[in-house]
Amino acid sequence: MSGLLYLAWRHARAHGARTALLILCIALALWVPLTAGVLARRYNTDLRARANSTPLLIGAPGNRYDLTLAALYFRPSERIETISYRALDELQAENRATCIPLHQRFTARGFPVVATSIEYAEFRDLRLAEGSDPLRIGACTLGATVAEDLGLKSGDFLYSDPTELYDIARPPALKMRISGVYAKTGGPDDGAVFCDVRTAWVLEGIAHGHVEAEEIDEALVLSRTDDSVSVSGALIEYAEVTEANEASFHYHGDTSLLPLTAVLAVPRSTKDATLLKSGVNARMPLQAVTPSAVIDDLLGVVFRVKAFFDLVGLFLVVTTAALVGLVFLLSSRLRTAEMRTLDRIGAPRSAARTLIALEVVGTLVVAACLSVSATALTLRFLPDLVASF
Amino acid sequence: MPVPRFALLLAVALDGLSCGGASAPGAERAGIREVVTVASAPAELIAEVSVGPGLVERLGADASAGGWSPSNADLVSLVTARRVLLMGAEFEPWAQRAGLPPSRTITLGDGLSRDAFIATATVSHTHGQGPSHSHGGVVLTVWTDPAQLRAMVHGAGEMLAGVLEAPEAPDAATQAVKRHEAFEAEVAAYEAAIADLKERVGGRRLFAVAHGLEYVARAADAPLLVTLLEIEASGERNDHAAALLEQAAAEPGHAGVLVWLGPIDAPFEKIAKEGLGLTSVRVDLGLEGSGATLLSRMTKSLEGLSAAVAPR
Repeated sequence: MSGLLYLAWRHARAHGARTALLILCIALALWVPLTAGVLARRYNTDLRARANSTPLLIGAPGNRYDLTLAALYFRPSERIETISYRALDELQAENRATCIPLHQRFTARGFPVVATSIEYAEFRDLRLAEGSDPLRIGACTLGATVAEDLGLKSGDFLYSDPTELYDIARPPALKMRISGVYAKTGGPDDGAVFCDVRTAWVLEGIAHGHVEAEEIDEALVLSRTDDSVSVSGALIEYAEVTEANEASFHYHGDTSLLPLTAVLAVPRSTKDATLLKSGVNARMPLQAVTPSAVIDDLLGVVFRVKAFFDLVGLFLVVTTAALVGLVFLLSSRLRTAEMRTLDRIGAPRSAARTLIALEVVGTLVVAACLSVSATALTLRFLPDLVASF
Repeated sequence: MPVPRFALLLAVALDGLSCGGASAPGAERAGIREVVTVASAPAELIAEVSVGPGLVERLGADASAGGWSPSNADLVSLVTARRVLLMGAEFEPWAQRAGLPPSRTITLGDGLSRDAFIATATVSHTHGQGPSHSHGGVVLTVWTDPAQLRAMVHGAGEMLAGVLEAPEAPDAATQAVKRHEAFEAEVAAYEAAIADLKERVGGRRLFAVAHGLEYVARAADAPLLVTLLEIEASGERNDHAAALLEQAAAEPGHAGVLVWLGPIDAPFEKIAKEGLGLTSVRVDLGLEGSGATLLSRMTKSLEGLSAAVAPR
């Protein structure tokens, strides 16, 4: 047997180009469906895990996919309507779930700004690598990837991206103090900038800070009555919350009408989840969705497309197998004299078949190892699709 | 299945090794503490009646509610408390700028009907030579109304019932009954002080230099004129309000007292006494001093006010 192995090895070396070509063809034919299969499996697992860990999402009526993808993966969407903070109060008052506010319409240096509350970090078990959670208006805590990519740490500053660069009526970019950095989670939270929901209202221009009304330069006062003071749009609002000006930040109007993009509800029990969801969908001008169901629907469509590509992969493997079989068949014909020599020197009758089988198996094993290694390398260097979903 | 099974298993194993999104350990998050955290004297009283003084954590005890601002350590205390008890957004304006957890924050004012609050009259005033203006809003000292105080204690009791996961003392029920009885006794004494004030004032007008006494005045059937003197450290004051007070004091039918809800300004006290015939009285609505309970301080203050009212 060792002699046959030696002969097979010498034959493969003697026909190096042919052997290498065969290995490459087989490896390529295996690599494509293998990588696609593993990627799909990872994608499916990660997406479902994130969705399954999020019991209930409540937002404005509209596209449930937009609502879910925005709340789970922080995908920016202009189409999401806001709901009022009163909705959160009302849901909280039902005492069926812990309700976590979410507001995500802004970015900071291209990364999504997720305005929420401390309960979000507790719910997702976001642990601090350094610093603290964003406990003050104007403070933010970075996801691990954001801190790594931007080279920022706690105590540094991060500017929000201006929404309308040439519209002076819009609030300017806010200089946010970085209060901490979260440890890496391997999920979408790594690529987000977290702040308190009140900071989002500053970014919206609903909350702001400026000098006292009585101290405003008279040149900027358009009118003054017993009840109100109208000031010019040229009055500069603070673009940073500092210890000195923090107390001047305030809201105008009814605070219960301040906007949120969604509420993440963590029901106390399955019964509470059912009652809360049905209650919201029946009574309120809101929609409640179960993220796992929405992602299942979405993946159902994706995996119908994948089935087609699986079929293409199957054809590729079958075609390659047929071609490889043909190559070995033709090769064995060409090696008739070689086999006859083996027979004449007294080798067993099965030696010829064993020799060819060893060559086939060897080629397949090397090709399989190569395709698996290539798959591993691909997965290593491919960007995390779920994190950047 | 187009992919050989052994190859798929091998690739999955390699996937685990090659995956770059592994999580990293971080600092353990501080656990929730089984306390009710408050940052004002009225909220402290209400929380203590509801859960007992041992489970109430008071922040900012050395500062007035409006002027207090939480430090970073205070914020950590607030977000790790099982419940944070607030009176209202206007009474505790710092809460609008702190990242408090909505699911663990109770705002007592939200549980009262809008009718429970007295709106501040649009008292027109000036700062020195500045233009005349006024401030809208509601009078925040709603706990000085015995009925509303009882309503807030009842509401807090309902919202805090069974929330704390601290081990319950064997005599917890007895202690709760005792706390409520002590509270009711103090409220009764406070109501008696209001009744006495009502008797002494006899429908005459009271003067005050700041908002806050409205609920007491309403309970005592005493018309109240608030003149926002807003005397600053430099001595600058609201001239418009001073003129208004002078005009009102000249009219008959007032009780001869000028109520201060903070330090009495000595120069103006003299003017009020000698020029207007008004006796200045400092009234503590529970936000000053320490030692005695909030209700006993308020009761004592009202007794002092009654004593200063001019005889009819």
